[in-house]
Amino acid sequence: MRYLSGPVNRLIEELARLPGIGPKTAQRLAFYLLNAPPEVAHNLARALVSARDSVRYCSICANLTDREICQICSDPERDPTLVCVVQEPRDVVAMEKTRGYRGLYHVLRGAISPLAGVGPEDLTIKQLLARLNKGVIREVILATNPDVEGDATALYLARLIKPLGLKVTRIAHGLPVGAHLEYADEMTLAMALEGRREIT
Amino acid sequence: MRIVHISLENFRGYDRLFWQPHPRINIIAGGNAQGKTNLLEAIFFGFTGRSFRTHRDKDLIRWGSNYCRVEVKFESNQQEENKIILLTATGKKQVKSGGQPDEKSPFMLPLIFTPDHLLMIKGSPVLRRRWLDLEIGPLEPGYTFWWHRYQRVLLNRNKLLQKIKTEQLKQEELEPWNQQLAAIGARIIAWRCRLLAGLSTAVRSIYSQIGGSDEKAGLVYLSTVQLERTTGEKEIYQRFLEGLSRCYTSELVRGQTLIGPHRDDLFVSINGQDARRFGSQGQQRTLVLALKLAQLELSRQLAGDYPIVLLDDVFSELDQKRRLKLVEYMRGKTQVFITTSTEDKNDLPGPAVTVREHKLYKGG
Repeated sequence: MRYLSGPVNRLIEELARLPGIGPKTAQRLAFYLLNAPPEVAHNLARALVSARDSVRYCSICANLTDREICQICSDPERDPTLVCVVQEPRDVVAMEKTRGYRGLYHVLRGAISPLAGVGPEDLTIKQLLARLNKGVIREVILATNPDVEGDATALYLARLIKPLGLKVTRIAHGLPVGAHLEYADEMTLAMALEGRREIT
Repeated sequence: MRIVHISLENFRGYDRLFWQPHPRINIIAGGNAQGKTNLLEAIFFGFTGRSFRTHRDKDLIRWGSNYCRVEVKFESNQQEENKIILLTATGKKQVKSGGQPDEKSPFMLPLIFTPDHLLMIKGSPVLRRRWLDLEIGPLEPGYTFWWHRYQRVLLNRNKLLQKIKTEQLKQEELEPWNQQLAAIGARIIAWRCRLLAGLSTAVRSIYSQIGGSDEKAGLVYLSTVQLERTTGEKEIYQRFLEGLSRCYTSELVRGQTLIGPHRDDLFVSINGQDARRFGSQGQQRTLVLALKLAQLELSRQLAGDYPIVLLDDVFSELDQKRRLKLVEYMRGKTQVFITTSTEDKNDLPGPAVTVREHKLYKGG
């Protein structure tokens, strides 16, 4: 890369650190930013700095926010007896898009994975237990991913929470809505069958 | 099931090939490194989209080319289907299938028989487990999915056992992994037992048929979980958990999970005696043939049609009598492809083609 001057190289290197961006894409982004009007780069830089400096974790649910207590936790319309436990902030976004959920959240910031060196103490489990001990919450929905690590995390949490006398549920996995049975793969169909429930 | 025609482009050593194989027996003769096994590999790839010899897809592309393409036209239950697999040097794989059965279907899995299989009785339990997991299990939809999941749980659990020992973590942390290991493990064990029950009757009758004796062959699942005749998933799960708590101390010392399907074995017997320890070479060979042919019957039973059979270099390891028994059993049931470097053409029990420098020639 000695064909380019120092600052350009540095920009490319920094961009290439981002997830999903390789050296080629980084180069393309860098040239775009340099060719575009100066405001484009300036606005991006300001947005980056202000986001990074003002965003922190909510002191209640550990979701990303720009205040002490996040928008969802401070919303009086939300049902304070219901909490949904997810792995990442992006899972909150996914759940919110449903607009069907009116309870609160708790973000673990990961899942238990001995292989990746993540143990229970690396997650926000202590904060969660402190929340539950306050006695307002009645039901905990475990919405960790349905993979091996997510399931282990859900099992671990269920063991901790059940003795508190709270209702603990796990989200269902199975058929996507509107799907036809004949197009579902065997695994999904088998899971859906196992998680069937009575029509009342 | 049978292949009507197969065409290759840039596959391994082949630049181009179009072949209409014989509907029953195909003997593929030729010297070493001429492309015999590559042809079987191409057939396997044409059906499954993967090789039975390598995990690196790129190895399949002919040196100097940037793609390879395999097209198979096959017939099953009077229905003809076309399947095309395109693989590029960048690792992209495209599968086009004319009809319903896709690459995941057990029905598409050809039965493969290599000299490694001949060690199945005599060799280590790994060989028998590999047979169960890669050839028998996939006949049951979902088996492979849960098997991969089990491996993942196992890796995590072993890592955690080592950490508990070195970093003094609490034993509680193992609990979610025990539950998952036992739940998925119990499912795999139950599946294996059910599949083996179907296999063992077939093994017994085929063994006496091709062995020509009244010796009784037996096949039993030997588990590290104390099953005591239970085959229900729920009971196996309970026993699995009990077993885990029993061997916790030794697991901690070893840093390894000591019970579960990854440690289980098959017990193969003749007249009740352990064939691995007491069987003669000849009895062991015949047993392997019986196991593989029973697999053929099980495939038909579960997938609705006999799979195509690929015999890679097995002939050189078998005597004339067993070769004929093997071919006689399969003749008329399905299409068979046999590679052999045997020079003596009188030994060949069917029409032959010869492979020379990755080209096919009619005749032995």
